[in-house]
Amino acid sequence: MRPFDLLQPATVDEAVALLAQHGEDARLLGGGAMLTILLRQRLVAPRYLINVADIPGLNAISSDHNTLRLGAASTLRAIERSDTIRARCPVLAEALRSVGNIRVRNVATIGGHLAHADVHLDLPPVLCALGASVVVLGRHGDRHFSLDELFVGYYETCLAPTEMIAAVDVPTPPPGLQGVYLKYCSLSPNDWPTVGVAAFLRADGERIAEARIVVGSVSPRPLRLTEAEDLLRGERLNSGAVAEVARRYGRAADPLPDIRGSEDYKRRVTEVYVRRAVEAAATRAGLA
Amino acid sequence: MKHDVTLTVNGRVHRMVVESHRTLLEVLRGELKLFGARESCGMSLCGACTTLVDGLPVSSCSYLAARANGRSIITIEGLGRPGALHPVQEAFLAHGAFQCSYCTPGMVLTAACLLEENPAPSVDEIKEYMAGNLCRCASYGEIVEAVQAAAGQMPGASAPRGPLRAGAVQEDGHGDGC
Ligand SMILES: Cc1cc2nc3c(=O)[nH]c(=O)nc-3n(C[C@H](O)[C@H](O)[C@H](O)COP(=O)(O)OP(=O)(O)OC[C@H]3O[C@@H](n4cnc5c(N)ncnc54)[C@H](O)[C@@H]3O)c2cc1C
Ligand code: FES
Ligand code: FES
Repeated sequence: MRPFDLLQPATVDEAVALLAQHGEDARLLGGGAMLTILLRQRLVAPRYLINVADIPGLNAISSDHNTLRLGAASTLRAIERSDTIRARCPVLAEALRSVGNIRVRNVATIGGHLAHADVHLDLPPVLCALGASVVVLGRHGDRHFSLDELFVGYYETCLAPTEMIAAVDVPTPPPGLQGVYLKYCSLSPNDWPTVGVAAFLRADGERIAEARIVVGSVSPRPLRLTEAEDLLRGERLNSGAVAEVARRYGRAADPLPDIRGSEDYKRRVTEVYVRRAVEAAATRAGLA
Repeated sequence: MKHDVTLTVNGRVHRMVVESHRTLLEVLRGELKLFGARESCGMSLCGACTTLVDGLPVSSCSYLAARANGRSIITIEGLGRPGALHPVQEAFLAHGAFQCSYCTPGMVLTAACLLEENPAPSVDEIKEYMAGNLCRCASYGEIVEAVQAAAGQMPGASAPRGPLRAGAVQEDGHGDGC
């Protein structure tokens, strides 16, 4: 690794001041699981790293009636093991079990996870479907962004270089909303996803009151088609409608061909996994 | 930039100076001459460098040494002692859970943590927890058997002792291991 100076602010205010002072010469350090690899490969060479992972209190997981708040330095493993998360957002805990490996989850932080903005991340589809937002601090004061606003494209967020994610807010899911995260890996089973689908349904009697379907890894930003979701709303679960929804997601996917599969292959897997995810969510919601 | 750090490694307190860009693995092997943690992939993929930081397995190849200041670190050298091996180490020997043994320190430390968290894991739970530790010699069958066997042997399984989180034991000499 090329030498750099590791700065260790004790508060978020200090971290934001250091960011303002050093601008593009500095980079935030979360768990460092990803950043240390980029540093070794010399893909990035900042003069300063600002360690936010060890700021006291920034790893707090708290909740009130309406919102779960994950401090940006919460590790993925702490979120996965949190009783509050398991009780209120079990799909998030479930999705976390498939992220990388135990050592990565022990250090990687939720702030670093989202800021990295790789399209192959597992949590963005789940968090988008749950309507999560980020609390951002910087020179302009506090700002809030939905995840839809946060993700701009491949490895790109709407954050200014002088801003940091301080927390992630997840609204408490409405009663009855049931979901799944289905991850498909075409290489080893604990690889990054080839396709990842979060599907949530809420039943009103025998009909679908609400559908939320978000697909990760197959487009520059998490893929959500509200017109397709609307095909399910107010309907009983039927295989024709589910197949049509799945086809629309397959058609809308715009994946990059890589070692995990060609464009066409990934579109087809998207279709199959959207169908399976909706079916699994329907079972959990008592619709099937 | 240089950092004054205090690392408690296997129960022994080390006050030292580390540079910002040094990894924990470099400090363990280069400064402390503890060669149990190995480097293979250098990217958090293989687990050869697995080290426990405050009781949790991390990839020391990708963990900055300066972040370890004030923390408790356990390497394979601190898990057991000759004549008083950790149950996981005993089980690996009894089941021949290695060939070349390059992966073994990481496997044993990860398994020890798994059993601290979950004293009676199922085969699937073992596979899930240890999926990020790779064995090039493919001793996986024996490794899973050894972890299952060790599960029955963990001391005080009913009363969590948290030895893997043990802080400083003494300034020099050995920690109480596990
Ligand atoms: C071997 C390996 C396997 C993985 N497998 C998967 C997988 O299967 N699925 C998956 O979803 N993910 C996977 N990941 C990625 C992982 O989930 C995290 O997204 C990643 O490690 C980044 O989190 P971090 O805390 O380590 O961030 P860092 O590596 O510290 O930082 C990543 C980026 O975020 C910036 N940053 C850090 N904190 C903040 C903040 N608070 N505000 C703004 N910017 C910030 C940094 O400057 C940097 O640009 C894997 C990672 C590794 C190393
Ligand atoms: S060398 Fe650290 S995980 Fe492979
Ligand atoms: S025993 Fe050779 S790598 Fe596992």
